[in-house]
Amino acid sequence: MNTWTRTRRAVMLAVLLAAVFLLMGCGGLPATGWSGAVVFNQVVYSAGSAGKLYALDTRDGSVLCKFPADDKMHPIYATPVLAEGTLFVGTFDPNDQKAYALDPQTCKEKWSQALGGTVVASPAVGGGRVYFGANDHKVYAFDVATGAKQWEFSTQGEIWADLTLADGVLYVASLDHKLYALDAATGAKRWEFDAGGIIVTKPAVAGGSVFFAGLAKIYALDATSGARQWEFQASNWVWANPTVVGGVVYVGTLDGQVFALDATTGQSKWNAPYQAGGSIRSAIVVENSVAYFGCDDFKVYALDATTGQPRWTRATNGRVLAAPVVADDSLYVPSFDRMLYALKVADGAVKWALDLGSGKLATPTAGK
Amino acid sequence: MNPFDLFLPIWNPLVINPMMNALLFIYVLVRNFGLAIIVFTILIRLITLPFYSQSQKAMKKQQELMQGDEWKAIQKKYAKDRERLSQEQMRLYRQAGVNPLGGCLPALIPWPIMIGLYQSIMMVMGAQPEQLMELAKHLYTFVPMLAAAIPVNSDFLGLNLAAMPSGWGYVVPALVLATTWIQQKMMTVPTTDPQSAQMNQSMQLMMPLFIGYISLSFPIGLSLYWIVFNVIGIIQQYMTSGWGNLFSGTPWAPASASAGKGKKNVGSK
Repeated sequence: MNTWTRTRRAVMLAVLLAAVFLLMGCGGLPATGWSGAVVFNQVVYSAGSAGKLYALDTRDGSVLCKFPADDKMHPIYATPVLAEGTLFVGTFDPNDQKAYALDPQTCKEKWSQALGGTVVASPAVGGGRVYFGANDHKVYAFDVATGAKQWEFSTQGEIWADLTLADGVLYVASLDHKLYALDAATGAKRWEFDAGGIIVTKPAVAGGSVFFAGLAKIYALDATSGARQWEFQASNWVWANPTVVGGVVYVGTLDGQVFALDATTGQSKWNAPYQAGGSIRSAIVVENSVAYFGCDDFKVYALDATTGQPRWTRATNGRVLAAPVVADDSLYVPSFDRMLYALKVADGAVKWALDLGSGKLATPTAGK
Repeated sequence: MNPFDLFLPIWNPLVINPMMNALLFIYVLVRNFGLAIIVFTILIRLITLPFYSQSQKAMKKQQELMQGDEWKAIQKKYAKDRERLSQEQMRLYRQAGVNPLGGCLPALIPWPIMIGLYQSIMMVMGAQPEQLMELAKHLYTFVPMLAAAIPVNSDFLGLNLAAMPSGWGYVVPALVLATTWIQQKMMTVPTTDPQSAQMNQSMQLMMPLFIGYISLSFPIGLSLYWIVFNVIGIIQQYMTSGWGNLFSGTPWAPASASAGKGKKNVGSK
């Protein structure tokens, strides 16, 4: 065989192998989950991107229990909900398409119900029912105590936006571009609103209005009729759940801008939107006039909620896509480095950081 | 950090963004993601057609040189001096104005396209939240109809293009394997050298098996691209060189080394 034929084949083989590695390594973003945290009675419940729900002691980060108890990865996007003495959660694992009700003390299953798809949206709980949205386009209502199914409602798209229950109305946003207002008791549709694009944000209800985002628009609708009150064109798509505090709607965009809008008029409250260093998927959490959020640039930000001026930032070692949770003087933040950080609200200093992958406390390496 | 991330500032605006938006635009026109992939692949193949033709001509010339009397005489003369043999081969190429690595190009072109298309398909299908969120960063916002078309309908002939093969969907990787093998076989040049013949035979088998195996691990939409790409390649190869070596060793093999449309049996491998 001649030399150049051999060389040509060797080059081809090398490029082919390199291409395959690139194809396998670069293209797919594996489903890891971005579940947020919930804190109750000095216990923080969070899955982050660790593929498992952990219950941790807020004082030292020690693991109290976990769900599922096996060693497999179960991506969890839905932030767990703790209500009526039960922890509700669903996973994105295609082999585990269930709604779970857990004992918050032990993480053991109280009941589970089969769904027709995986879960991305956080459930809503109230009036003795728990509501789950699923990737089979449906929203389900179950009895909180027994898990018995009470009703289901079909949309035309996957339900990725967290569900909202307010004043006997369940607000369900779907990838079919519509926001549905359902009677929480019966599942009957009261009204629907077509946003012209996918809706992945949890509707926020305040002062008789519903606030949510569809693509790059933020909407305020009349909660009773679904009539549009105002809309605001943001600079990019909105994947962050809007937060309404003190008559102000706070929202972040995928191009890293944070807006503070007057809830009544939709006018900007700050002189200019705050520009963060990456995409914002985390909701803006406002506590004591400080707005906290996580960012794709691995950082946690704290801003003055009145002016939009920065207070502090704290870098982690991974993307921060889940909303932080404030409890006492701490901020609990799951990061894509599979760590759960407990930060001091005053200056963002790391109190402790737990490796959710191993369940062990880690030496904090986060910086400013 | 993935080392590939270093190329993203160039890769995204030059490859991913135009590719993904073009794919989505075609979807808006045809309203079927399977058809959109097919149309997109044909367009890509048409755009790269001149490049391919040039390479195929170069390969043909190269193979003719290797089957010529002059090269056979050189081989005989320097049979025991491999270094000199290489030098003479290079001299022969230089004289004929042939780039010895030119033949690799057609085999390399599909890969960056495939990587780009894979990323585009995964994002456009948006089967999981990260992918759909990533899509927003690459979308041309000045074309509002693109965003309004999301999420795309991934059903095509009863198959979910965003899903891995399962059930009768295994037909798809089988077709990838078969079309890759056919194209490979057509392009193989018959040789009297036993070492080359053995190498040809293993390449004919390994490459399709390899590609077929890969297609088992990726969404069906990507395999659809690969099948269409292969079928167009087979047609193009037939137009250039006939059936080539496809039927060798079968009852349908032509009597002489030449095959199909009376053209000389030449190819790239």
